[in-house]
Amino acid sequence: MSLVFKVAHKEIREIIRDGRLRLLGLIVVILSLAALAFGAHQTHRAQEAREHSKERATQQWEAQGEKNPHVAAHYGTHVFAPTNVATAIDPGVSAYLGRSIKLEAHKRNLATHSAAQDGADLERLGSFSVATVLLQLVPLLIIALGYGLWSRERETGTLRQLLSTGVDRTTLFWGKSIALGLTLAALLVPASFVVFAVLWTMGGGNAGTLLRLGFLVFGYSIYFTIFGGLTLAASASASSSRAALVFLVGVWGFFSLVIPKVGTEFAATLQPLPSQAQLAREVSESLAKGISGKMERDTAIEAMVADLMAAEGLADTGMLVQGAQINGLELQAEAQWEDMIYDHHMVNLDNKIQAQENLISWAGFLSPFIAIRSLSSGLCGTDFAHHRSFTDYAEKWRKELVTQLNKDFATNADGEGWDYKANPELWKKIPPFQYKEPSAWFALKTHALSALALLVWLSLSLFFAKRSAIKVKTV
Amino acid sequence: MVLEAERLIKHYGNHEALRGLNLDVKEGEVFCLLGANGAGKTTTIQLFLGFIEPTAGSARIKGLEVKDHPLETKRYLAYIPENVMLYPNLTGLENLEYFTTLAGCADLDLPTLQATLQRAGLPEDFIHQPVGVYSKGMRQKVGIAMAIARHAELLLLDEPTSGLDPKASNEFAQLVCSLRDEGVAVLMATHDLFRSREIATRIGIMKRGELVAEFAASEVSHTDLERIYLEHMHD
Repeated sequence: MSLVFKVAHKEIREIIRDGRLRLLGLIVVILSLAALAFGAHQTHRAQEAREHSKERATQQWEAQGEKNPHVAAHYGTHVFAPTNVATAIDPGVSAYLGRSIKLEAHKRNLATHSAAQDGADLERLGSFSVATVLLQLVPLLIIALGYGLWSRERETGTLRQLLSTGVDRTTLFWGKSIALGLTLAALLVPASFVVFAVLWTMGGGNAGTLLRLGFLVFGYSIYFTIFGGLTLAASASASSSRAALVFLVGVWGFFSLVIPKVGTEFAATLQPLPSQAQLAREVSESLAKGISGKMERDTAIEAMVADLMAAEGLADTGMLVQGAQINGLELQAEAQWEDMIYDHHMVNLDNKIQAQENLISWAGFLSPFIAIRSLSSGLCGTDFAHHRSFTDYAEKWRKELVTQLNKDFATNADGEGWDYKANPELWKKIPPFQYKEPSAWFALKTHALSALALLVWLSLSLFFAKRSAIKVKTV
Repeated sequence: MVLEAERLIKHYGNHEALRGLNLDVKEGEVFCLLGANGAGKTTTIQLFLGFIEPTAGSARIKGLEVKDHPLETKRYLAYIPENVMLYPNLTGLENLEYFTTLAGCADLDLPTLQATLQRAGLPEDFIHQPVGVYSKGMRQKVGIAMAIARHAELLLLDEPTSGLDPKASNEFAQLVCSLRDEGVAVLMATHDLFRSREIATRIGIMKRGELVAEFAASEVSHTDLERIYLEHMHD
């Protein structure tokens, strides 16, 4: 056995014999059960609501009987973002931005059915999840395991005894690091398997989800290594175990509470978002007066109708155009006008949110917590980029749906005008909503800055941990 | 020469802990350093352990400068402080195995180590007991066992019998003498005039960072030693 593993073996033997492993194991079991309970509850509720609503929406859409196509477009339908084991592990921004959208004519709705809206009071108070345990509580576990690895040896005098044998500090450093890593793995790996297996059974997933989980495990391993490095550095540098513990808890609070709050406030100040009421008012004003505020809606729509007629070859032909056809073209023109307004405001809103996200990503260089939080939600498909991907697809599908229904009205109404009722077969001809989640590479590309920040933190923490070990004082 | 100090100086800020110390210890020799608290005895040992660096001068072990060869020089030595600090949740045997392995003696098997602990005088019943239940004397014996197992050529002892009962102190002294007879060089800082007279080859008295007296232990009686020591302390 190499000296490094001899040191690691001794450290692990001590952790087992002094009762730390039993105590921390108990804590891990409690945390895992709590995370599992919340995760399973959330997955079950999300799945149930989604399946129930989806089935009902499909049934209602297909069973609406004979109806005017534009009236059917008003009736609308609901679409849902995919859920799986990953979305149960880290709810990300889904808890606030929602996972479903009502699609209807004349209107681009925001996503709804967020956990914060649907959940019980407890969930509104704090979104506890598997990610909460991994992001905030496991670092505390690392601190509890490692804060005395150097300082306790110094306090008890065993460090002098050790160094008098001629063993070099680098060997001790790697031995202690491996012991910390193996102990943590022994605590977390079995618990993670159980949690993942249960959530997988409930939430499901595919090969893409597995790839995402693989990257997630890798990302969190780096995050835990960062905290392990910082813990060892503090333990080697602090004047006492108590000082090391106080310092590390302070660092944890700074990283996971202070910087995220300050970063969010800073981003909100630089890129303020409109309130829902303000957004609704702006949209309403733009619908009436155009984006510039200088255009009359009716004039603009008339021009659009003229363009559509020209495109259809109906202008300047001297042909008598049927009223229903005009109605259909007017509806298409109205939809174009509204789409233009909604696209402008929604893209503007999404760009501002994305700009906030980008600013917060830079804060990952100030706190590894922020970096892994962004990466984690990205890999779980619950970050803003995935939300935007889903809402953009939903909007594209909504436009196609409305266009198809309006076209049917324009083409088939003939002399019936608004009395025209489409055959129920039309509802079944509408292409299904088949949103495909982007790949894991999309998540990595989106959060490349956060991944880079994590790697920088990893380098720094290992550098400081090793440097502190080499300079560790015997008294 | 196993250990040599040449014009060794150590300053802690404005405080001069060592002021040009000259000292040497040969194979099979026990050099006892006597002196009041703060005389520089422990500082001297710390310098040879490489735990602190000298301000000036030279500290050599087997001809190697300690500050330039901190790891190599430790291969030759074993260190026994006032309290041998061990891991309380490991047994005496496990502690011995751990420390000797780190010292580069990975080839020692458990029966050999067990025999070494017995030679050092650790009761057999305690070999497999956690060190947490050991008395101070037992821990010192594990320290001696480390030196024996490692075949150390130099023993650095920093008040090793302080706080031991007379029987334990005597047993410890006997072990040091047996190692001395095997050719081990010993530098021992102590307040114990009686024990130093008993086991030392040479005795040095330190005062304010300097060696103010040095003589062969065989040249003085217990009474003479006490008188000489007190004379220097009263200066």
